[in-house]
Amino acid sequence: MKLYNKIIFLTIIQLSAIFLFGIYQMQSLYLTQKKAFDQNKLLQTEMIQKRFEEKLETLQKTAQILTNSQEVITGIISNDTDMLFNWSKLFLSSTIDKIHFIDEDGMVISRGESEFRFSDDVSKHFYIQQALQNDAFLGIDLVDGEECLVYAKRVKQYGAKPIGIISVALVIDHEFLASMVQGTMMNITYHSEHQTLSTSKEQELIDVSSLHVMLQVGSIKEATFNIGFTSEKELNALKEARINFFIGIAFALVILVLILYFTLLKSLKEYKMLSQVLIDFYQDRLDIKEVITTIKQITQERTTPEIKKIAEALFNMSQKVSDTQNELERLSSTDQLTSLSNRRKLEEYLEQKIKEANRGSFFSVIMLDIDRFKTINDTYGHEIGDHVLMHTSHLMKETIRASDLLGRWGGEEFLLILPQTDLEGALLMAEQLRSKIYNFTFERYPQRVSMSLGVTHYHKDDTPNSILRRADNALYRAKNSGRNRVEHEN
Amino acid sequence: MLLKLTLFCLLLFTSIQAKEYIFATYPSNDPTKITQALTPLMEYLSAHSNDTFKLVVTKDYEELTERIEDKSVDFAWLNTKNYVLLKDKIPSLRYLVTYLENSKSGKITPYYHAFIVALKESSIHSLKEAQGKVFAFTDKESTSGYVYPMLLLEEQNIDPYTFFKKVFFLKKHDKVVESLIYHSIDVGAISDGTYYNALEKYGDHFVILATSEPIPLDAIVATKNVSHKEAERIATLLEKIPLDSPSNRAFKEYLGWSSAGFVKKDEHFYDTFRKTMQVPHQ
Repeated sequence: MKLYNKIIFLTIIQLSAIFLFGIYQMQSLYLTQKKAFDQNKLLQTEMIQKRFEEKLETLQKTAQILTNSQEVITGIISNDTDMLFNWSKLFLSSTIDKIHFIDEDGMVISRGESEFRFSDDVSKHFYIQQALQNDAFLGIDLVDGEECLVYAKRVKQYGAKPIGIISVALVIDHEFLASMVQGTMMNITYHSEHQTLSTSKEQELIDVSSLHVMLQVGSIKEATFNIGFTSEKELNALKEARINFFIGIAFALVILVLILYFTLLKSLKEYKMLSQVLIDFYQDRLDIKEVITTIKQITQERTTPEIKKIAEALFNMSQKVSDTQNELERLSSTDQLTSLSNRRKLEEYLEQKIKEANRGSFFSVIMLDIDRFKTINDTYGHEIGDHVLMHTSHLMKETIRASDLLGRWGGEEFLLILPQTDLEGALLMAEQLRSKIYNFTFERYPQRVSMSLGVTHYHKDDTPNSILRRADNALYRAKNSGRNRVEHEN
Repeated sequence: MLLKLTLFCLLLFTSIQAKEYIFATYPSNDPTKITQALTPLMEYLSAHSNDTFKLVVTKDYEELTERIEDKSVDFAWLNTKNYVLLKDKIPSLRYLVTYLENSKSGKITPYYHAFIVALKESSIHSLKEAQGKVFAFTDKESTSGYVYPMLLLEEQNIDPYTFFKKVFFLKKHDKVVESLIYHSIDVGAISDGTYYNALEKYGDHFVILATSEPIPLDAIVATKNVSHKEAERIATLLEKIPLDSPSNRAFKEYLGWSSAGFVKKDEHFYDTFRKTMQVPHQ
């Protein structure tokens, strides 16, 4: 498997592991919250139940207080509407909407909620009949045309003689239902044969439970209170958060993989470029100098530290290879004794100059030979002969121009190639060389050393052999003419 | 300098002599309205007597009686019945003036009447036709809301507690009218002033089933706390209240009474009322 694929694969595995861990954590959080949500719901249900019971208790307590009041009893006996009205005003509140004082015949003596409405007959009402029959009634019934939680209690003078009824009622309306669920997340509905009320605009409640109401069976049929949620807002928010988290993680996973993909692509592209340079080098499409130039370029252009480091290393290595190559080149074209160019180098150079001359350039050639060098070797030994060769070479090297190439042609014979030099210039240079050598005093060779020189210059359609032959011929004439002299081609 | 000193001494003497009187009444109507109606009268008396008059509206007649007995009030506004009862009980109670009404007939009179009324739409046009209907008095202490109506019923041999289906006590005259309008009662007893106010408010929707003989109007009395001379001085001030005084305007505005001030009668003025004392209280 490629490194690239390995990295992608491993990364996806790691990110997937993180993703799965995140899912697990989120799910755990969700379940914890769900549990808290359920507990909260239970508490709120109990609270609503308690509120309902408190409202019933308030009705009963109020009726109890009123029935225990001697003034109220006197008011009922004497039909003192005004006094009863004043008493009931004290108890009307948000939890008590109606207080009625009723005589034994079922005629209303006074209404707390309506000062001027009384004397009507309510004896046929179910709650009145129940109160007359059982002394008390706690339930749901119609009071003045409104469905109410009503508590009706028989009033007895001296605790024995029935004189009337006090009914205390709370209208079952939206306000009542809203007060039941105030401060909770829940909603309540009331359903009876006459009406359906709800604190919620939604049609259906979720997770519905009935309110446990300990009421006597009244005239209102199918009267039930249901509590529940219109929507599990908190839980839905949590579910939404969970989904968002999952989507976020998945999105992050995709993005991370893409980023990794492109990062790897970019880095590997640079690696590929470097490797391509090396491939081009060993397949001879690039020489070492081009390799160095290309790598240097990559080093300058690419900022990736790793790539830069490798490129720098390759650059240094190429430099070293180039230096070694140059040294080998130098060694292969240099004469070991005189450190001048060897014959191979001279031949290559001569060929090159001929090619250049064919395109319009010109040059001259001087063939040099140390006179009677064999005698030096034979008389003073090869060591002194070498000494003479080295110093002669050194002296000549000092004399020629930088653009000239001097080399050892063989034995005591030298060849000097003078670019951009005509015959006259070459003769001048030849004479200088002859004179300098002849007048030089060697340390370890006591006699004068002379040289014979044959000079020629480039002719059209010359070949290396033709020009060397002419130089050699001139040298031959110099030798035959007494040596220590310069001769040139005819 | 001597003149300034004399004036200062006179002022100081006057200040020392100035008294604070408690003027009490009980709620024959809404206590707030009564307070608003009587406040200008208190201001008038304070301004013209150089004394201070403070108004007290007691909880009911019983409290007023108690306060007169324990001398914690100096002057009191009493209805006819209470005046007669209290005068018998407390002989030291000094009669000052009687309230004067500018009647609907245009006469200024110290009398008024009690009416027994029903709604025209109820098809009750006589007391006999009211049998089995729901009836309302105001208060058993009320002259025009109970005592005289009871006399009217007696004259026709009607025992309200058996003749009517139900008898309610609504305390206030206005409440009798409102209850008629709401059809909570069929027949009610009210003063003629309340009746005329109802006509103005609701129009001619009422029928008078019976009218009482003239009833002496309310009296203002002084308790034993007040000297004879002081009582006479205050009575004179009350008699002198002009017709267009703020006090009379306040009576009209808050109670609907067409007040014409006060007039001083003698104590026998209320004797005609004494025969009503035979009226049973239950």
